[in-house]
Amino acid sequence: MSRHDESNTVTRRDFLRGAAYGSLGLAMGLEGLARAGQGSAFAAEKPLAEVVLVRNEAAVDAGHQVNSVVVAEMLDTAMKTFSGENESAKAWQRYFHPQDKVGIKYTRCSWHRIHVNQAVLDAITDRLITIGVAKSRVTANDSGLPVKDCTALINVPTVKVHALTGIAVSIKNYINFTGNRSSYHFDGSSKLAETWLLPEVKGKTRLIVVDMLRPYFGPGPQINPLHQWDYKAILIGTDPVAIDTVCLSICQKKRNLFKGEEWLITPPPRSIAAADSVYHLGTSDPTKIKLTRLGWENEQLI
Amino acid sequence: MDLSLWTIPSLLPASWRANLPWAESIRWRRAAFVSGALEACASLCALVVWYSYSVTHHTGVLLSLALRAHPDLSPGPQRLGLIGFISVALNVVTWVTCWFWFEGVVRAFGAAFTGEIVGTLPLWIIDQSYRAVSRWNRNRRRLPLVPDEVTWRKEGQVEVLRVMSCRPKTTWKNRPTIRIKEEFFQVDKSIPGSGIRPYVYHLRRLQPGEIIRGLENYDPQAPLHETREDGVLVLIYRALRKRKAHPSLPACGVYSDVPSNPNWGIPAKPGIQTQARIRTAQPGGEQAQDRLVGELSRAFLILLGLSLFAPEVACADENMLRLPQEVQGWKADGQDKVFTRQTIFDYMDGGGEIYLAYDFQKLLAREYARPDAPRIVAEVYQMASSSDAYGVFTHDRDGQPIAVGQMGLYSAGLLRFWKDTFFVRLQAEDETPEVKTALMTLGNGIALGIPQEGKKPSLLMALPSQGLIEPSVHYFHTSVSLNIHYFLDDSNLLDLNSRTEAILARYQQGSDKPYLLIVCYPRPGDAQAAFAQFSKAYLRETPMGNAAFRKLEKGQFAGGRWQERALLLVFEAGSRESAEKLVDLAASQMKGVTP
Repeated sequence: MSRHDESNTVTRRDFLRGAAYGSLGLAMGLEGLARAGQGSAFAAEKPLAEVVLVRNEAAVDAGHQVNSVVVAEMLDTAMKTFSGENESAKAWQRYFHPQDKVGIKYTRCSWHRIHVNQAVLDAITDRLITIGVAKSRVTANDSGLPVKDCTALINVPTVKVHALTGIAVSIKNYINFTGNRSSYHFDGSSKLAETWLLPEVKGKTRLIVVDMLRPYFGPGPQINPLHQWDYKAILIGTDPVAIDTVCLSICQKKRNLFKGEEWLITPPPRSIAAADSVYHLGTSDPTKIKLTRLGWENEQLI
Repeated sequence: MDLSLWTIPSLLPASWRANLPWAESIRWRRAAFVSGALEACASLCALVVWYSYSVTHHTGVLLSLALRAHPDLSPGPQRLGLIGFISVALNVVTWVTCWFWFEGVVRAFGAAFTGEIVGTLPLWIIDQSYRAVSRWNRNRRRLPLVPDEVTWRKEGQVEVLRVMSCRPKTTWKNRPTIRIKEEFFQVDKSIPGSGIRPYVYHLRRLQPGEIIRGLENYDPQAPLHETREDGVLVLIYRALRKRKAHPSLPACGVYSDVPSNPNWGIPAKPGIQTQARIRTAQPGGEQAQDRLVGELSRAFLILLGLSLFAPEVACADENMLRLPQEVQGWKADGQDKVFTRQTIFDYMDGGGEIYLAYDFQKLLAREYARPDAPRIVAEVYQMASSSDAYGVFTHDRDGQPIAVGQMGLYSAGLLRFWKDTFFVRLQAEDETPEVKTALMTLGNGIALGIPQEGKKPSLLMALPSQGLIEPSVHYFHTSVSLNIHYFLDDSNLLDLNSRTEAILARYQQGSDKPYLLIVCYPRPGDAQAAFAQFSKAYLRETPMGNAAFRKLEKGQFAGGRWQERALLLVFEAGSRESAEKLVDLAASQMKGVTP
């Protein structure tokens, strides 16, 4: 039997009691972690991070088809709210300039089949062109994005609960920028945030647009259609840790709803905790995040 | 199919053969034997013709040249014969013809006695050249070159030096002694890491009197430079050396320090240092005999020096399930894809770990298409045992039970079942009534094509039946699987590995739904040691006997006991009594179980 390094062990008990992984337990609604006096979750008055959540019932129809017009409207609403501008073009101009070479890093997983919808990508590209970025200067890709040549990046992930990472949203979306993707699934994927600090990536991400039209909350690795639902939302922010924390909270509640009891997202998403405490990419503390909710309120889950 | 046609594909390298669309329908062993025999016969005939022609022709030419220089020369018939023989022997055409005769003999013998399908050398060289180009391309996409991270770390009572690197240290896998400045260390182990420095090595201080093995100097501050992956010639040289150094290794094996067991797979640890396990698929009862014959035959191949182009992976194409070409208007579209333990990540990067946590052997994937209808993907996973087929099926049990295969489940365009050693997964892009009918038909067809049912793991018999929530039962081996179903800890507290068997199940006890975890270890003593670790790290107490239970934060109880090779644990029980009762029941049933 191998010797066990006790000092490095984080048990379920540590996790549930909040003795590990920072404040993720709070985001996941775990008992014993409701720390009184620290403010309400996702309603910070002096926030470290802001996230805008826009939902529209008409975004996805009963046959799971995405309405591109509605999606474009949702994107405009989210951008205007997030930037504080009255017009969509002005909102985009706050983050991008015509001379930028913009890389749109989206998620496309052929075997998992949880892709970013084309409607979301088209809407983003259209808005960039509208503010004067030449079409030739906009590149959208999953793997093979020429990140070195890009002056600005837009992170466009989907949301999926992941059997090895816990949850895969914006932090994990940059895994393609490494040459060895599988290696990041060790140690509870705690080093995923490192991909944001690669020399050719660091500091280039201007915006995160999450396609949460049809997220996945099951264990994976392959999709079980029972575990995908029409949440019909788009999230916008600039803090990947806060974005992932919001998505984690929503997926955890959906899982609980599905099983009718607590169905913990496992393994615990160490990538989010480490992105906060080790790599300082943003905050995972729900009491320091301000979430603006707009649109359809049915089963908002947060 | 006509055997004469299939003799030609058997000349191809293993990786090419695996990708042939009709690979499963070929009887490779027979085809390789016939093609090898034909190659040897044809080469022999060519050699005789060539010798007959060249011995007279070349001797005549040489003689005329000699007579022109020395008109008085009068060589005897014996000398003329010798000149003719030497001129033929030194000719490249003779060498090439001899080579193909030699190759044909080996290919025929290899197929006949060991079942190994050996391709022809020229195509192997082309294949390796292509791989070299691919490797060169990969070199361009490597992780950024960053300095090694060297830290001290406590492993039990021993301080080890942990070296984390962005590149593999190829010479360190032989565990040489390392000199860092004036201190000596022994490479203790290499483990897969993550992130930007995924190559992790543990070094311990060399003890006084310990032998220095292959001393190497190492300077963590040394300037970094990019090294290129090895080319074909280096690989050939390495292969020859490896044969020499490890004559008992399989012809196409990679060194693995995990003990091999015919019943259990070695999970190829994904990532950097994937250790390929080489397994020749053989009918169970003939394994020992075949292994002996196999070893002898491999030795024969090594002696002949031809093992260089032996197939990379012994595969079970002949045993792989055959899928129908058409189902209710959906036709097979595109080439079938076959993936092994070594290539599963090519199919599902970021998901293969789940299958590798079981004794996964091979995946056959085929897509079906019908105009104006959702596509259907059929995946057939071949596992080494029916227990593992059952186990991988239990990974996700959400769905509606249906009568397809063993324990069929259906959920909105996804059909899954297991049977014998196969786990079958059929998924449509969208669900329509036609899709559902097609999936059922396809599923039933595949299930009927598997002649026998598989046995569930015998460990299941240890589960008390009263209150058991059957769909909550999961069977697995490693902590990767455990932590998906019930996160226990992030450092493998129970020392689960590919040779442990485990089941997790939930019970309905009034309003409580405790978990019961049963782990069966391969060796006596492992269960006791794991229980001690669990008690200390999870219950935070040192066990006095073979059992311990404790009330935890939410008023729920956790604990368990060990018994011979088994560890029985309960979590989230409503009371100590109910926890003890569940464990005792399982322990009594465990006595009659021999996994």
